[in-house]
Amino acid sequence: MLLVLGVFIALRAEGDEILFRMLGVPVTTEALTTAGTTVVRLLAVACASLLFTLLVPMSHIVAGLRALRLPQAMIAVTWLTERFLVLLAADARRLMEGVRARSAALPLPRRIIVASRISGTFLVRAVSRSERMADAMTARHFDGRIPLHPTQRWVVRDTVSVVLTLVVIFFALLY
Amino acid sequence: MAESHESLLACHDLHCSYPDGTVALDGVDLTIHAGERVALIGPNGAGKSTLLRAIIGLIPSDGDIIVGGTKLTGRTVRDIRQRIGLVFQNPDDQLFSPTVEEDVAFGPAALGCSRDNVVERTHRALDAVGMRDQAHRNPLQLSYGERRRAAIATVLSMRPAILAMDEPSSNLDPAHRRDLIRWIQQEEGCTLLLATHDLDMVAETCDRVLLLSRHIVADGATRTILTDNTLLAAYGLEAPLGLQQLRFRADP
Ligand SMILES: Nc1ncnc2c1ncn2[C@@H]1O[C@H](COP(=O)(O)OP(=O)(O)OP(=O)(O)O)[C@@H](O)[C@H]1O
Ligand SMILES: [Mg+2]
Repeated sequence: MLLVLGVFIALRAEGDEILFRMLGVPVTTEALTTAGTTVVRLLAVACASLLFTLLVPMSHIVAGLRALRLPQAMIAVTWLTERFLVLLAADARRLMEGVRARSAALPLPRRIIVASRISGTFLVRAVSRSERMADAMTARHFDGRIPLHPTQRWVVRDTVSVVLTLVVIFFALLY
Repeated sequence: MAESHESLLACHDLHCSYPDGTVALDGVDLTIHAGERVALIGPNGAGKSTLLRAIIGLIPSDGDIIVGGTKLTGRTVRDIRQRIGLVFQNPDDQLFSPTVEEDVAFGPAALGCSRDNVVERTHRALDAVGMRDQAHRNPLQLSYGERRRAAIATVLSMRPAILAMDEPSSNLDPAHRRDLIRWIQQEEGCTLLLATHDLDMVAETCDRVLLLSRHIVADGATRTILTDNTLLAAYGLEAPLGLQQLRFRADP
């Protein structure tokens, strides 16, 4: 995706010094530099964010947000989004395993048709997954406030991770 | 049958249909008293899971559901869910937290228990299902049987007045199934409602059996129902092979 974005910027950006032509569109030195730096910046931000989510468990983030006295609804939405995406990804993996286990013998065009049908199935499953997650939570007295396990709290390591992430993002955007 | 006001759980003329028109429950009447251990048996599609979900108000139903004298309504549903803990048939529907420990702690924390109490409940529930050493693992990475045990622990930690379990022994290895049975046998005083096909477990853990097929078709002592081969066969069930050697819970 980043690469496509890079090509797009390279083709669109203005400049005088024409380096070469791609698809009949002139690519200038300035455009190429702009595209390169944008892609590298975005890549750095993405890596930093990824590192952050890997280093800081969601429950610690919730504890941190709560310590900052943010509204419960906002914390709940953050937590629910992360949880839902994780569960959905697991569902998708299972669905794909099921397909792969039975479609190996199909020729490629048929496999593509199957894959597009599966995406419909996946959407239906996503809805049912959200309903089941809601059932499981209401059955356990969820009332809009994410209860935290007592051992889950914001620790020094998390602060270090946040600072590191912010530093990377800062430099990525500045230079 | 005793009056409903003495009962812990009562259903009167309960009907339940799904949006696609499937009639899952068609006039269920039942009464369960405090301390009773009741098995809910019936063939696939009999409505066992539907009944368990209906009594905690997860799916809409017509008719009365009364728990500890309180009728289930939109206003009382939260209170009723505090009294009935339901272990879902599919553990993947039950577990949603990043670690087993957090999942087990979710219920008591949501109930507003104190920190220490949450920790104590979590540890005891995990011990009961032999999952203490897996407390920090991701539920998505557990085996099915382990997820099953973790799901049971998430409800045990809430210490409900009625423990309702949907197929708790399915996919457990013999040793863990035995542990579960032993644990159920030890929890004296706890009111139990077990939906299951595991009739051996029923014999060992329950005093009373309800046979469901969209409505209650038989209600009686475990020995009476489980030795009635004609009745069981009529509903696609089979008496356990070693029934003669089995020790019924009611036996001296
Ligand atoms: N979401 C749903 N939509 C439509 N019909 C459903 C739905 N869930 C269950 N049913 C139908 O309702 C009936 C009762 O289902 P239920 O899951 O309660 O049976 P069960 O006794 O628990 O069966 P099993 O022993 O297989 O678990 C079945 O005929 C089933 O097909
Ligand atoms: Mg069922």
